[in-house]
Amino acid sequence: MDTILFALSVVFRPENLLFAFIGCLIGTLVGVLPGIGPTAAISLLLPTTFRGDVVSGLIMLAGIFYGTQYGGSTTSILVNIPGEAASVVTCIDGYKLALKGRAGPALGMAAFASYIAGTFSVVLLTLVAPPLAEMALHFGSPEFTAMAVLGLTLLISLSSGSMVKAFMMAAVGVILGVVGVDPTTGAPRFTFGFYELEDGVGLAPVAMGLFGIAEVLANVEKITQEQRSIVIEKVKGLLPNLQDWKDSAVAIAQGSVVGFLIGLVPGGNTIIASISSYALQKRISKRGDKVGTGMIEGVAAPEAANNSATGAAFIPLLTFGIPTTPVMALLLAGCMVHGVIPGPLLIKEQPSLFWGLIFSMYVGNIMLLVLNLPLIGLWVKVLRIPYGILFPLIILFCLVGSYTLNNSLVEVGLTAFFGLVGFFMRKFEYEPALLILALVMGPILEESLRRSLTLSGGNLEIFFHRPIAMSILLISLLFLISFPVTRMIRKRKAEA
Amino acid sequence: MNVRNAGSALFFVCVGVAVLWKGLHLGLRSDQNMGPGFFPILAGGALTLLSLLLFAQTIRHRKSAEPRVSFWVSRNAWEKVFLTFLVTAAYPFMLNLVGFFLSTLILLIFLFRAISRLKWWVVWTAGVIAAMSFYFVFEIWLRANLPRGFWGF
Repeated sequence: MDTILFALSVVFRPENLLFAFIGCLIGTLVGVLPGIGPTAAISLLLPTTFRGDVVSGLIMLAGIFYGTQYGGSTTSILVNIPGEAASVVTCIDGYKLALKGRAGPALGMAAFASYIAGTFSVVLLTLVAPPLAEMALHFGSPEFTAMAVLGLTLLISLSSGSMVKAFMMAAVGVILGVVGVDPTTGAPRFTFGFYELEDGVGLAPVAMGLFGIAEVLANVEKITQEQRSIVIEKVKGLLPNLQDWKDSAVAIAQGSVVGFLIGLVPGGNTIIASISSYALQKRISKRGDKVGTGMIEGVAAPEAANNSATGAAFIPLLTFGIPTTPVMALLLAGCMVHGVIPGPLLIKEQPSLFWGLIFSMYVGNIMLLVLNLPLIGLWVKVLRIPYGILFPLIILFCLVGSYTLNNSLVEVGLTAFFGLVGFFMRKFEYEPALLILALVMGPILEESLRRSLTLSGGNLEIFFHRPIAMSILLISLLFLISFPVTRMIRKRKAEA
Repeated sequence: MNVRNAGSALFFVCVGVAVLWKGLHLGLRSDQNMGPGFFPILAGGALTLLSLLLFAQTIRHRKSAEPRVSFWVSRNAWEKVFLTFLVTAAYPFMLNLVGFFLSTLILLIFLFRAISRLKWWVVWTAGVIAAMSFYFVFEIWLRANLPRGFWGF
């Protein structure tokens, strides 16, 4: 009870409420606008949090993250373009419902399903995070080494394209992670004489380049003078009827559970959550064959899942200090700038941050429900902003944002450079998300591995004498073996 | 053969070998502990091997049935990408020379006009409003201490 009262006292501070609102508003806006996702938006706005209070800043960034999941459905339903990648499957039934004249209930159900699932995952986050953090307190360097290995393995295994390319990106990320002065010996590594690189390659310039600038360069290719055609000009009757609720109840429930479970897994992002939940709904629904033709449960299931996954993704970061998605990696960077290190000690050392962040999500979910339903008309107008006006502002945000990190022009140059790298990565089908995560996980892995080997006098047997570390490493090995084998079996079945 | 895969694989082989070579120079061990070169050797070695594997896979599937997708979306798409990148990469140099406001105005006007092909009055109005807004947000509100040019802002 004391914890709840304490958390509420943090959340209801006027500045925290304001930042939660700003985060939700920006998140919805980003979700509505196609061409900019939560990772790009958070990397753009990360520098704005460096000078204020860490709690308020993180509340805002988290608000952007879950806000995009709400906003993404609006464009999917009204324009048949996913405003955010996780809303891809919402297009299928959402747009067809809109064409049938049921855009209002579809938008309403998307918002309600998002709210219910979002709140569900925050409740579970509240219950699960403290005992997990307590457990993680007993972890030593070997266990953290094993956790980092598991994280990297799962990320690679769950990548959508070639596994070899995924491994390559992980290796490139790890290489970027070693840039800077070696923490043990003080030897400079890959700094090329730039003193600005002695502290390493910053996560924010790389993320802003790979996600912000690269996304713009990819979209600039396709710029036309045409405006997006919005089929539905005015949306009426946002509240779903009783039949809609009956049809969507199971979809919301399964979407919440599936989304939460997938969100927990490293690499199990909101896109996988929404697609899995949609596929499951098609299988379990009595009228599964009709899902895809404009059924309300086809909107409820993926929207519930992608919102539930956002809450779950916070658990590995807040309890083990291990980010499992690029957004979580950026939040980690946001914490570290303020000298706060997420992990098992966070709950004890920074209770206002830990509980304030979690409870802000309850309030944020209510704010989003209010923002999404009555303001639909405004979001429709926002959709009319031409990309030709938006993209120079996105570029400017990236460049100025990276300058404000350390007032360094080298970091601005790095952002531009990684923008070009990210553009070519897209062209050559390499996943930038894996590079970012390996860039974060690499130093964690190196540091914990070094500590483990120092403890054991350079003997790798330390990992076999620690049951938790050994179990985690065995699980990693199983995943590593199982994924190519599963792919091979599927391929053979398809060929047969 | 997927030329993009083969080309990128060879590029990453070069990167991997360079990292491996540098890692060996940094040293594998120091005082009975892992040396500063241990991780670069591990990652560089892995990158080299994986790139070679990708190259081998690409060569093996030489007669791929996948349809060829052109690199650029349209004929002059590369110009837009090139010009956008050029002005983006030039921005830090402009910042250093003429300060935040002027360099930002140049960047925005160039992108609005050359890439987005907006009308001149829209270009100037949007450019000035955006540059001033960024100045107020970052310099005045967030006190970011942006570079000053000869005008003092």
